[in-house]
Amino acid sequence: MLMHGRNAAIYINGVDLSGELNAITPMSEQDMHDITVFGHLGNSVYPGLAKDTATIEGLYTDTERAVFEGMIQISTGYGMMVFYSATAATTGSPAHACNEVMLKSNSIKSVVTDVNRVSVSLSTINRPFEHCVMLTSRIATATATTNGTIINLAGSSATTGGAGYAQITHVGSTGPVTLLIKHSSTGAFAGEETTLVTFTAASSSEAQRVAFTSQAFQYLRYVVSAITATTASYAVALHGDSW
Amino acid sequence: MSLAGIRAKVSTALSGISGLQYSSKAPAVVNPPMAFLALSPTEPISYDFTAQNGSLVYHFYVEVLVSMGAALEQAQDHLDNYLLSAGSSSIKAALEAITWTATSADVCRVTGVSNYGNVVYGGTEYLGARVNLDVWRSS
Repeated sequence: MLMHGRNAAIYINGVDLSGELNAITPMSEQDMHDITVFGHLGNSVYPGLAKDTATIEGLYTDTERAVFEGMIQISTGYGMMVFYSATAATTGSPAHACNEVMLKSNSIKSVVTDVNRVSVSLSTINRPFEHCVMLTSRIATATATTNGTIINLAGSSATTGGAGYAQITHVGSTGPVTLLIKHSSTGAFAGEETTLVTFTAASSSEAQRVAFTSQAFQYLRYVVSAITATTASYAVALHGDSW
Repeated sequence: MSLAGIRAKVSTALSGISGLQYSSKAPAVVNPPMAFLALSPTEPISYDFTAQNGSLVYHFYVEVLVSMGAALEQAQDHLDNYLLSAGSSSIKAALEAITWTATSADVCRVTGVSNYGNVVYGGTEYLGARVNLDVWRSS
């Protein structure tokens, strides 16, 4: 199914920047080392470490400025999630997520005939973008403990190891919210399900990546296991290493 | 901000031009000199300047009509006053002085003037011009 850019969503460090940005280009790249030896008729290379990047274009706004100017000379990169969909919000849609991105460049273009625009370049740190499936339909909001929609991974169920990603975009007053990812081999979720990923309780907007080493079963859903905040908003995605 | 809200803002801005009648919509009856706001017939709204149904642009024009009177030259002088880029009679200056609020539209730009010439409106001939206005609204 085709997916349209107008339905993309972009979250960085717990901030929903979708309404500020109009183009996002995560690019997977890797070092290529020359292994050409005598006798080869052409150049030969062997892949090295990933060095992914992303470019972003958008409008120069207070929200955009706060995020990207806040990234200047940070020591720990920001978590990032990009959601793609055929509709504005669909659970199970693909996404790219990264535990840490750092600001490479941030330029502002002010032209007399147009609104001010920005162009941002980011570099991933330590690990590349990871392909994910969204367990929320874009941003979900909870005011009490709740269970998300069950996602059937079908042929992707045999993955061993991976990571859960959460972008918590809002936590209301009076306390934290705790998110889990639960999985089941049957899809019943009648008590047989177990916890695959436990995110750290969040008291403010933030991004998290939590790795797991076990097998991820075919059926998954996110769970708000505890919430004392008046309301919390979040996006949750899962990556399997073998996907 | 709704379209009605933008129309009200523009009307308030035009009300500051001495002697100019104004309307937030195309009126049934023109009382020249008069200006009214209308959406562009060719592309009234441009959607999706950002993701997730984000920023959009409304393409308006302010139609300015003056009486043809006895001499066409005088009518042109009269109309020209409203088309200056600055000054107390300038429609451009009045529109660009609008203060938009964070919950409304964000910013506007008067892009230019078009359709300068004779206009028949309600069966009467006037001298008119269109002052084109783009209004941006973020998500």
